[in-house]
Amino acid sequence: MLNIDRYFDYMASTPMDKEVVAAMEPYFDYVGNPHSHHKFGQRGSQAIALAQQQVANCIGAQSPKEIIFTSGATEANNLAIKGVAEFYQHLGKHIITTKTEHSSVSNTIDSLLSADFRVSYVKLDQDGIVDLADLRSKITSETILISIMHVNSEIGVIQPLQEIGRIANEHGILLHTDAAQAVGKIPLNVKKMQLSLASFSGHKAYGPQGIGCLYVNSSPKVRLNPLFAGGGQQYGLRSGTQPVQLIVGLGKAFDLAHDGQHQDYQHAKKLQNRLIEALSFIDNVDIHGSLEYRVPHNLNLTFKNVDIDALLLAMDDFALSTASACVTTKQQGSKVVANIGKDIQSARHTLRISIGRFTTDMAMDDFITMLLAKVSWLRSIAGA
Amino acid sequence: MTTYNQKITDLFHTAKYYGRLDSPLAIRSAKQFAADQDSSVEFLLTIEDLVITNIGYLAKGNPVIIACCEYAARELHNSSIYEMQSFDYTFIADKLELNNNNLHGAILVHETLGIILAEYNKTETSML
Repeated sequence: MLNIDRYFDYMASTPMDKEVVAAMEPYFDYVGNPHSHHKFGQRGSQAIALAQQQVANCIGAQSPKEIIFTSGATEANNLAIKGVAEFYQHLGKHIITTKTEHSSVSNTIDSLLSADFRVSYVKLDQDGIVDLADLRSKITSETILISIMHVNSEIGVIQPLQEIGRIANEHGILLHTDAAQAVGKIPLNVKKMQLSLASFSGHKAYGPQGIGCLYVNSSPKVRLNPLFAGGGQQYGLRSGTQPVQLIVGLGKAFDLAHDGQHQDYQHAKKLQNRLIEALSFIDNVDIHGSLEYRVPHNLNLTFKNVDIDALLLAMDDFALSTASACVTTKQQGSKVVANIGKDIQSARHTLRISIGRFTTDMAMDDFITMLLAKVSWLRSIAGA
Repeated sequence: MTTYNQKITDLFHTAKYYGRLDSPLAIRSAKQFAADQDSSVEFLLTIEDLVITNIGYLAKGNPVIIACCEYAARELHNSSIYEMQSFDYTFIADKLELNNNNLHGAILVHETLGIILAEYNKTETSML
């Protein structure tokens, strides 16, 4: 049996909250199609409507109809970017983004290059924060979309989306954000940030895997081409029968995230402070990304003279990761760390520590003790 | 996280020969860097009457490199210098069941020990 106290990889996936499981339980044996008009169908459609409302409340959407359920944030990112690109290409074929996006954003944008789209990358400072002046300078009359991640999945920094939203709005450009890592960690309000589109994931917010959603602003209305054809469910944007159980779980998770965000933040902050204080006793530790503009649920580090594979094996009782769970290669290392001006050695040997709602004080103390001991041990082996 | 076979994992977790030698006798040593300069291996040996009486290593690198060093140290401690001559990377790779992606650890150890052996042969011959 795996011990949850050894889990320090919340940014890869969060454990499901027991309240989420309890909310889903009545629907495990759900019979019917939520798009059918009979009572069986209505039971499902009512549950989906509640989940839409819960998500809308959590993210500050104006209407539950602005929530489109998808299989996860990857699909939501694809729908947002390809959907906008295809629908608005007659207005221009220029997209602005950063080099530190999740691969489901960067690879989707790359896929548009073969259709004659152009992409510009906004500069980031050494803390990983978007340079707003550079963003302004990149905007052209051809720009139709800006896509910038809200909370970075590797280094945890928070981008100034409200300012970015103001700039996008001034120029009449659509703004999309991958906000999968923001839910429940920081206050969210898509209206205040003037977002056109925002992608979310269930399993990054204590909900189930296999479900996510896309916020699509209805005022002013954002138009999208769907990714695929089908029965025209979800206002024609995402065909296919909606998975009732998963959507119920997502709704409950976002409901909890909304109500518990402040408490979760304070809890993570306390643990992060404890970790940062402990790290002050080790020489040659490089923390990547702004300490001021970051979620407290994440620290991304490089220990000089410590090979990351050796550290991960030395601490194999703990769940840790090197970067985003789905990208990095050993040779290139973390593209995020490399793109904020760190050297290749730092990028190759990053350790991502991410904590959350169920990380206890005792678990953090055990982790710190083990981390300090193993870093010291590996440095002894290296003669450093 | 990269996964490693049981032999690598066991040697890594139970490493004990690492560190510098505290010996009054002359220590022979050599250090080699991997091609990417990211990893390095240093071996330190004392040799008395053709026998390796003490051995240690310093290894900066992934678990394969550390495990290869540890294996070499365990095998060569109290062995004769002649046994060291046959201790090449294919032998290490075979014993630790290394796949092609992990051969670099065995090669680095082989090259480092080879430098010590060559130096030893040169000095001993010249003394004769």
